[in-house]
Amino acid sequence: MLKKIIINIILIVLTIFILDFSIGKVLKHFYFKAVGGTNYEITYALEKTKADVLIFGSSRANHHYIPKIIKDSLGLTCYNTGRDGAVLLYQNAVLKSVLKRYVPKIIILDFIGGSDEIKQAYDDLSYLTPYYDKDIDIQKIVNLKGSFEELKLISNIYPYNSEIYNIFRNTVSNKKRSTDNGFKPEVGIWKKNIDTIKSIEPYNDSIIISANNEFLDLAKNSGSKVIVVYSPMYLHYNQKRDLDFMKSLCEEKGIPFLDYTKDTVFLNNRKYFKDPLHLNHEGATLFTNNFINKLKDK
Amino acid sequence: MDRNVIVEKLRDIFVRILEHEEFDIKDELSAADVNGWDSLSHMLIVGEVEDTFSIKFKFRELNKMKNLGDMIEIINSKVDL
Amino acid sequence: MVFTSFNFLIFFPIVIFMYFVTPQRYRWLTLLIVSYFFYINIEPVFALLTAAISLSTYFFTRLIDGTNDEKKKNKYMVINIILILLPLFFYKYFNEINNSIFMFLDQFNVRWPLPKIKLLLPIGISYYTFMAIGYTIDVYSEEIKAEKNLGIVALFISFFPLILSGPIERANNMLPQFRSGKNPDYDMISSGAKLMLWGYFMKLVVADRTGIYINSIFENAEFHNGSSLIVATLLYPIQVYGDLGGYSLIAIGVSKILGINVMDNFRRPFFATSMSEFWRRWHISLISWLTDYLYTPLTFAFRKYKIWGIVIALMITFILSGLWHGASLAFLVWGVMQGVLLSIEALTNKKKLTFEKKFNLNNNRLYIIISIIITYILFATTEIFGRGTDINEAITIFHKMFTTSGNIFIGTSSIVIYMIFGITLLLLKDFTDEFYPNKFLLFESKYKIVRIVSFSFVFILILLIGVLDGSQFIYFQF
Repeated sequence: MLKKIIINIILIVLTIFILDFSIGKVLKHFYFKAVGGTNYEITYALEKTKADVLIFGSSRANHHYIPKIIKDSLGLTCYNTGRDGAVLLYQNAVLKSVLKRYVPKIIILDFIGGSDEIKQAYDDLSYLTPYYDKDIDIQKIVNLKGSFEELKLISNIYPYNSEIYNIFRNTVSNKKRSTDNGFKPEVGIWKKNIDTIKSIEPYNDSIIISANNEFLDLAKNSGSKVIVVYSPMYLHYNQKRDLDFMKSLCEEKGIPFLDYTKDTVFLNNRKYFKDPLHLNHEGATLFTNNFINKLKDK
Repeated sequence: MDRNVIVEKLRDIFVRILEHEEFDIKDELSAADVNGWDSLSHMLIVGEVEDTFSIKFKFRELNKMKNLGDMIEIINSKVDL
Repeated sequence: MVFTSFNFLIFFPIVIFMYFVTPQRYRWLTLLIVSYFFYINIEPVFALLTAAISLSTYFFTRLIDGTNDEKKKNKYMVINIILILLPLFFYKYFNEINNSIFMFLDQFNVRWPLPKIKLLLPIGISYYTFMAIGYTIDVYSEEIKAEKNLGIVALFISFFPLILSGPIERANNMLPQFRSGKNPDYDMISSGAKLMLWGYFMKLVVADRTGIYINSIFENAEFHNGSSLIVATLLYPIQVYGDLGGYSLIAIGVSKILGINVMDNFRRPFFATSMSEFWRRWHISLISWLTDYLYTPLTFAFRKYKIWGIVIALMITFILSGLWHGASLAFLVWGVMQGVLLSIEALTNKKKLTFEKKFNLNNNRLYIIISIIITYILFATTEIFGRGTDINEAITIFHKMFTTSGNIFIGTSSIVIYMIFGITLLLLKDFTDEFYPNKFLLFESKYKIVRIVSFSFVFILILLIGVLDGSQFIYFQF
């Protein structure tokens, strides 16, 4: 009986291995062949961009900063690396890859540091699994995801988990990128009244705190001009401890910090918002213009 | 009471409650073998048996009734008293 | 450490190895040790609770067995049931009681705000408490002799495959298996592995994926139109089936590989043609537990009211079952709804049978399909109140479903596509199992190559479209 079981286990492991290997290779091939779509934007940010101005941050970064406006008024090329949900750890990976290739002139970090983001920060490292074997720094960051990440990545399919549809669609449609240098506008207008929230607590995870420090130090020491922004929200706060935390950190490191959360132009106009945390296209246009003017002053 | 009398009365009760005769009366007959003898009709049958024989079951006796043979035995022990 | 965590995939092979190198008569000890190791790694303190419940149950069942005095037997049973129910009550209703007292104090301005203690529900407490109660009653009603080995009783209550979410097993099935520690045969191991794999598929591919979609609708119900809410409502039973059904299959599979047979928990529930049949296919271990230890005694107590006695018993059983899920008005409504639906079926049962006979509907496909659809919709509707939300939200959702309409929310198209694919595959398998039990066999095909390839294929599917960044298991809180 034991012999029969072992033979079956071997047969199954072998079949799984063959399927995993071949399907994984096909997925990998088409993943990197794409010339549009979210995956392409990640590859572009990590491996291709040479833009003078780089935007970092979460979905708020992605939907708030319009590269075209920045280019038109500053005469500098701009790329927006902001990703939905991907914060803190992901942006470190992008910055490290970029600095290996060149030093941007300006680095803008759109900061959101609530403790609610922590789980997301680790989960969203799955954006980076396709690049795992390409770069040692990315490897180190992906390994933070969990103690078995190295083991899981023996699988050739695992890096592309839940991506098969996007990979397939990008290949079939073969659509060129439709975004303005990573930026994706939000549509829609928020219909509810402004809420008041007690407090956003700063993140309390040591790995993420040190990643945050590392990002600021790397950016600053690279010789680029660094600026941290807390972009508008359609929310009132009694306390914003995450903001205070970042502000004092920036003062310590001599990095300019712009706070838009008390800006009445935004707080009094819900027409600029898609939801309390995200500006729509109209709001983003107003914000980017306003922000550039302040940037020129600095 | 004569065993056959009990069996006949029981058969009448089953037919009345379950509305069919598709079962063989034998000692090994259990609820699972009879179409429609489920958690709904079970207590109706039990109540009907109690009324017909003017007896009262205890709950634990019911638990021990695994088939028709058990049931007949318990009824017998009660009506003879 | 839950089944879907990677830790478990490392833990389980070690358990298998330890189990089979142990001599048969001491295998219960190995299982007891690894079970406590498993539970301690979830919440160390709760293991003490499990141990206390085991001790109390062991002690009182021995007392019940040791006396011939009916009154004493009864007293011991009642004392133990109350004792082991205390922690469940305490943890389940602590917050509600807390809040009501605070509100009361507030009213009279005698509230003194001090730092709050927040209590987590010990995972699985409802499940093993029920198992311990069942065992106590079984000993009392002489279904089973009280076990003399404390270790075996402790293992029954803490057996790691079942401790988190059942199936809620019975002592007369489990104790003899623990005592013998007998080796599984080849078929048990192979079917155990297949059940585990399909359980993972149900959980990771179907339930978690569907959960992402449904939650994005329910958690933002105020922003969604009635059409989307109807879709989410109709999908919710599938999510729960994938979740609890998948988890049960993993538990059953794990046990099988260790040579222990555990009862089924779901039997293709969505092909039931009536609510009463549905409840014989859905969460079977809970329903059969409730039937044996609550419903049947109640029908016995109310038997002089004939059919109305059964109606009373049904209502009480389902209301208590609702409140077991949680102390809220919504769960109470859920229980009442189930009780009413089942009572209506009980009261009209005979008319329905005559009607079906008259028009010869029992083999009429259209009639069966319509019955299946109606049953499904009824259940999905009751589940609006069984999701663990508060009553107002449930009513809002219910109201909105009929008053607003529009396009169905998609969100992320890849998520919806994976979800539809997973659900289709699951329902297709259940469909062939239900109506063509010996055709289209893949896992059980007579050709080895088909068996191996289909097994590997499901594994690959999980890698491709399973939700692998672990999410919480919704039934744990219950």
